[in-house]
Amino acid sequence: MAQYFIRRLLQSFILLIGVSIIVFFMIRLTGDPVSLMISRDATMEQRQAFAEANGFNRPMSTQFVDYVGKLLQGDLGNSLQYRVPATQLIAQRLPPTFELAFLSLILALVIGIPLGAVGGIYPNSWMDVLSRFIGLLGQTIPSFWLAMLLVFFVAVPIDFLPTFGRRGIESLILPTFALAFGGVSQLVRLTRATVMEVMGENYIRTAAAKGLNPTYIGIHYVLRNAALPIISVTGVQFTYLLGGSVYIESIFSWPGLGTLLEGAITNRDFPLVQAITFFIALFAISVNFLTDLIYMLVDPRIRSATS
Amino acid sequence: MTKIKNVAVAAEPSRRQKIRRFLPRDVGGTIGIILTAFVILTAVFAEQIAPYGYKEGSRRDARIPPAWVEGGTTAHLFGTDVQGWDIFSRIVYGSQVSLTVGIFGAGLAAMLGVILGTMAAFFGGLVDTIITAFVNLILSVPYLVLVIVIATIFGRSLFNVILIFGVTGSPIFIRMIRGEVFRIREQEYVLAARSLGATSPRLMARHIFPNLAGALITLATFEMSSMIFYEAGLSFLGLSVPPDVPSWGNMVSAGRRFLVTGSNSWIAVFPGLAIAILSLGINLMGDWLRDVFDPRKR
Repeated sequence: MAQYFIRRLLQSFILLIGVSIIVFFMIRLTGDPVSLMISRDATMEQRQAFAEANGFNRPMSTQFVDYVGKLLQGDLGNSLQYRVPATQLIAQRLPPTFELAFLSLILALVIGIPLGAVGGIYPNSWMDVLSRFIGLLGQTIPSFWLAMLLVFFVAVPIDFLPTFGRRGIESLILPTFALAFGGVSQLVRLTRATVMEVMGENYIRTAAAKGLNPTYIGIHYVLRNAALPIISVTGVQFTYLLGGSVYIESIFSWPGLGTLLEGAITNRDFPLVQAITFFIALFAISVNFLTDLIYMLVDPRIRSATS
Repeated sequence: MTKIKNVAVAAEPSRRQKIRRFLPRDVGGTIGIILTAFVILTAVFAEQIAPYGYKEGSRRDARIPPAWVEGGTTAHLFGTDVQGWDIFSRIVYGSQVSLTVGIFGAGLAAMLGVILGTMAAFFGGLVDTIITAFVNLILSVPYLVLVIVIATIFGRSLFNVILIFGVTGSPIFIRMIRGEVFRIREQEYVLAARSLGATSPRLMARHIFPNLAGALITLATFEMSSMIFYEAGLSFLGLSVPPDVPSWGNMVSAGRRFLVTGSNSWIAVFPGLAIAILSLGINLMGDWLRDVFDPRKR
């Protein structure tokens, strides 16, 4: 088990190195990072001064060593537009985004898992038709469009729910719902597929042959065995919601990481874009690692196989 | 002789017959094919269908509501946007953007997937390690963030969008193809063919590839739908094709300025509906294809 843990940790670390290399070369891909960041009508002198101030005129290898050195100290560089360390901005914007993503995740779990499970246990029942329908909706209706429909046809007519900003609990309702929507349908589909797979196992057939009623089998046999894949999906869901929050935050002017990224993109604040990308990747890799650990701790098969 | 031929046909129906046999029974698949075909025909005959050009009109005719709403006119079925451009015509032309991105993006991703996935499985060793590392790396970053950032750097053009989706979409294909090649290669019939002296290219072409084609087509269909979805999202954030190009995401985005007042909602509603219809069509088609190619359900 310790061996598995160390191997997984090492893998995550290698991925992180890979991501940091990508993030470094990303803005240098076009060959001229200065013209990416500076306004088009800047003079030659301004360009040179900018390159000098940000170290773009040095050899690539020196820049890379410098970048990695700073990264190891937790320094993700400074934002061009705010002129403060990017980590400071990220730390400020993180709580609102987590608040939104976490609430959406809970909503998605509460709706998605029971619906998918019932659909999988009773295939072709009306509940299954509903679960398949909801599973399809999330792939069909873009979250940003749904969010706008909510504003146009729910929030504005009833004039009760705030449509932008973060002021109190009621301003969370619409963004949470819009963000959870895609997550619900993904969870429904995955839960349903996992449950159906377990339903095909021999021990389920044995249980049914013994004459146990389907609901009992569903709860005691199917769900316990389907729980593990669902746990691992939950981890992935959280990072997925973090990505989706870019649209939702933008529509509802939610002061989170998504709007920070959008603002950085519009203002060509590439050091900040780099920092946010690196942070989100770091977060995603950590979540994957943690989910694998939980998986290992919970699943007796993996536990015994690796000890 | 004729008799034997008939028996053979009955025992081994062609794939086309199998598909035909499936079609009437599957309502979802039928709807999917009809919707997708409808959008494809719209894209092909856009110039004949659209009453106006996609940038035709002036600000004098701006924000005319849909025909059935008070103040609307039958000249502009779905109304006009802030530029005075006809929304119905722009939706018709927008189908070309979405389908182009979907077809070429998924096509490029599938092509890269087949090439790199096969290479990883066949050469093994260092080649496999490098390709797998690339796959894991791309898949470790939330997809939306990855695409947003790359699109920001490369700038707005249809070509760039296709390229970005093709490259970032390839890891899913690589992973699938690599796994399938590994699996199929160990099957008895492939081992038998190899022991009869078949060369690797022959094994690949005659025994392995035909057996993963179904899974490949299914995956490509779903990827096409998700690329259309992501393109709309990028457009919405102003990172896909230039703003005057009638992409559905751009059009939804144009309605954002009315979120505060809740007016002129048709500007965002109809293009979004178009995204939903095409996604629904392709997804239903994908579900149906998956069932058709899944040997367990045959």
